[in-house]
Amino acid sequence: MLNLRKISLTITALALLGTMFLSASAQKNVLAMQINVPLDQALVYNGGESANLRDYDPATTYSSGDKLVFSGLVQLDPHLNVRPDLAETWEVTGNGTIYTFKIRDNAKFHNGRDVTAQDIVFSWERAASPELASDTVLTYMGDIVGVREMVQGQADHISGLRVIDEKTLEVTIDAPKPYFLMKLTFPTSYIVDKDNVSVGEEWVLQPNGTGPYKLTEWQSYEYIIYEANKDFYLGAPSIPYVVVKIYAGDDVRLFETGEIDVAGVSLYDVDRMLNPSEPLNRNLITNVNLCTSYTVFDTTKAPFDDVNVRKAFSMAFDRQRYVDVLYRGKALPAVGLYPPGLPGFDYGLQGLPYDPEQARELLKQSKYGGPEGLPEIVYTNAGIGSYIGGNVAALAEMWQQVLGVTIKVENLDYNFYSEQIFSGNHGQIFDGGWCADYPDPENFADVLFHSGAPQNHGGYSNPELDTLLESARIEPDVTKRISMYQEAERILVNDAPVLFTTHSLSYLLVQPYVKGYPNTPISISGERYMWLEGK
Amino acid sequence: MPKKLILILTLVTTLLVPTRVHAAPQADVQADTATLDFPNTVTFSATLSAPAEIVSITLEYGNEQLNCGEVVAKAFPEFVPATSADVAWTWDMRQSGSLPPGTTIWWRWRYVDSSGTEFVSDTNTIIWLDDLHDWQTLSAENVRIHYYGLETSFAQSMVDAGLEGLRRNKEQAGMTPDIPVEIYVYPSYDEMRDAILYEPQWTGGLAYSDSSIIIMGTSGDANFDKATVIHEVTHILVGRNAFTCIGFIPTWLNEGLAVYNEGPLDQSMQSQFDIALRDDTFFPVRALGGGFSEIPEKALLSYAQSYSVVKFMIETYGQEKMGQLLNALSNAEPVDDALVEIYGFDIDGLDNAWRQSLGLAPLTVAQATAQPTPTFVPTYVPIDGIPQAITPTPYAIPPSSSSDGTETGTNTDDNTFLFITIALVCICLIFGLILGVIILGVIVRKNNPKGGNHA
Repeated sequence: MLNLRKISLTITALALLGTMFLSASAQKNVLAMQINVPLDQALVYNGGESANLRDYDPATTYSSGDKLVFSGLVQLDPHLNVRPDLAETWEVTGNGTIYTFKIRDNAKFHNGRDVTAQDIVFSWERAASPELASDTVLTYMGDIVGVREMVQGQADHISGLRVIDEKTLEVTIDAPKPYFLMKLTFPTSYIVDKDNVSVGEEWVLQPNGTGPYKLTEWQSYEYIIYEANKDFYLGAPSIPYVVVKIYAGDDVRLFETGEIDVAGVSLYDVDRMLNPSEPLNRNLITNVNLCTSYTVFDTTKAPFDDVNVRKAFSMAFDRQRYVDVLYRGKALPAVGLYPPGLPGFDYGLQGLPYDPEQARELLKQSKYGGPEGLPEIVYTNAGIGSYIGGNVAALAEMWQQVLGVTIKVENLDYNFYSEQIFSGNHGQIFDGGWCADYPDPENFADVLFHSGAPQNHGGYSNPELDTLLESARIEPDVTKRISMYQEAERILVNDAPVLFTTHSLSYLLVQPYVKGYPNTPISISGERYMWLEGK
Repeated sequence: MPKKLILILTLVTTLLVPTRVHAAPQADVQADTATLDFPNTVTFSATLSAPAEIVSITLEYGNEQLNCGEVVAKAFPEFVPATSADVAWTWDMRQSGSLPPGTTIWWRWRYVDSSGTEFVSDTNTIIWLDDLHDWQTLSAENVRIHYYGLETSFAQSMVDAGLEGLRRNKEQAGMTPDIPVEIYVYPSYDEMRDAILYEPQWTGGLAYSDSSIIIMGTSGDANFDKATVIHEVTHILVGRNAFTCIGFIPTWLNEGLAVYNEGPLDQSMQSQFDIALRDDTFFPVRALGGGFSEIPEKALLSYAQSYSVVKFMIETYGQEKMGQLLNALSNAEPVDDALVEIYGFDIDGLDNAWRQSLGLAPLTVAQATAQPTPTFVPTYVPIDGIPQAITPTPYAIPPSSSSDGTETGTNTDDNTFLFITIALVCICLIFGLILGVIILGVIVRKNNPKGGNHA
């Protein structure tokens, strides 16, 4: 999924405050929000709100989606294994191309209606319909026979789906792809209720899902209340309520005053939390996300249609200084595509080094002949107002210092940033990044860089890479398959369609009475595993 | 929810008058307005017209602030394609974070019709500020005080404090303002907090160095308020003189300089400092590099300790080195590297030297929490490859709040059953034991009907 969406909206809400300093007053002013559920029985978060309703529709969201309300046939468990969810069992036949799912007898929508195979067909055909224009459907469901035809308006139905009976669905995919089930853990294929979605785009405000929690109240810019679904097919969740306060303030401050139960720690607060004498240190949990941040070069536009220019911009980037200063050492430098921990991560990978002399030489060797021959370069960034984050500012400064190139920055409303990127409305450089949806290198190399892949926003195309990725899709030998993806990574590093920057680290505060918090490097439906003890 | 000032302020800059454009064809823009709902939103709206059907509309806008290069923000309002389109787009500060009151916001419309002609409206501006109040301005040199509900004499004392802040910074670090410092003074802390979002409840003043704007409430203690002005003016000067696109100035240094310029610690900070000195409960200096605690006592100690560290640095090693340090940080040197280069020690070394100056033992806290390491995740095996299919394995979730289904799949029902079973077994054993004792007693009594001792 897009890395940008994983970033807490709460943190972005505070972006404008980056250079602001406070002084203490002589008094304290306590304000409280009135939420009409017993908070001692609720898991309380701080969160944000998107102005784009499509962000809340599982078929169109770019993010990890609302896994409290919605669910799919399968899910990732806390160990990132694929587990049954709405599907109780499945069988794989036809040389790995036919999946027959048996839906749980007790699977119901929140309004009590049984979930049937027809509901799955409806949900998937809705996701593939040209009217909905989902940007994610081909990425996550494109392996199903007939999805592509329906997306392109050449068919009214997905030919690869066959309802065997009320509770049995047969799905045919175009080749034996080992990662197919993992793709179904992404929200695009989650199940929606036909009557519910027919009320118009605001249906997401009162969704009738199948997940472990019901959305019972949404007060815009105040809070969202979820109530445990007592009829959840895997048993009612332990925590009766989940409350999301919306833009209630800084996560760490709210955590410190006991107003929320789980908090993301921003870079600004990490040093304090790492201090063992800080009481909150006992609540700190850390992880390395399966994420890679990068900056995309549009290879179809000048000057990044020349590999020498792309390499020059990459080698003018002082990665270690970027990590040491901008991230204060709280990130890992990324020299390649795959994050540490992902199958295929290559410890020995040699990325393009920081080499100012070579960078200038490459720019000179390019068809543009040097900085004076370059067109105006626009960097597209997700943001509101004139504030730009340190990442963009740092790149702009390094390119100016090393190459003598000045770039312009355009901030696009982050509520609709992804739509703009998908529609090609961006400068020659733009913010990118990817967090694993499931633990497989296909989710990075193939999804992001195969020619014509919907998420290949920089328009990069390399027939050699395409052939390799297509072979890897169906390679039965795991070792060989992984090595193919490692070879793909080496090709990408050498062609520099993107500038790899960092792998993010995760710092979270969890209150001691919150038990069972799954500290996973991929977003999963964690609340169903958690309980409260002594809140 | 915090009580917010809700105000609708409509600026009709070009109401009903078509706007002229520069080099592009003439844009026909009417009712081009920005409407403030302070402090939450600003909504830009207009009616745009063109000879042919309008096919794309972009709002270009931004706010004046120190920045790294040229930045233009863009938004894409929804509209119905036609030769005339009503458009509106709202900048929601609750999402983006507050702009400081007094910020200048600019905007213009760029649109294209079906013939491919592009039109650009004139650029308009509006000040992000509530106008519920009768704002007055008093200025001298590079200090401008904006205020309401306060005596002119008090405002003059704030101007004087601002000038004093500039003087001290110039004398002690050679820092001067590049543009005037704008100071918005509210009659109370509550009114100041109503003008902004997401600030700690103990906030008394804020400095936005990128915009050269300070906002503050008044405490009723004139000396405290003067000190606040000097404090925030220092932040403005440090922020602008050491401005950097990539680097950062640690909070202990920025706040330490600001408090140092105020003069001696006030009583509340001194009190917290004295307690920490007595009990040796200072924070590691490294932990003060970012945000301070929300707990007021901890926040006060953070300020006081920052002051003490900076005072130690300046009075032990001199102002010149402090200037060198700020310069190094503005050149994006990591803090530890800059300290080693200029002072010969890193942050921990500074911490120990400062502690030694207070008669405290060197820092002996445990190692900071280590950097996280990656969690290696399973490599998936192709379904039709090596014969190892993914097997559907049902898992259990904890249906109540007393079990961990995450790891083991054990649920509360299982635990309860186990507990009840063990309890029943125990009860049976105890019952059997009691029964056995009774039977044994009966047997003994039968064998010895007279009872008594046989001694």
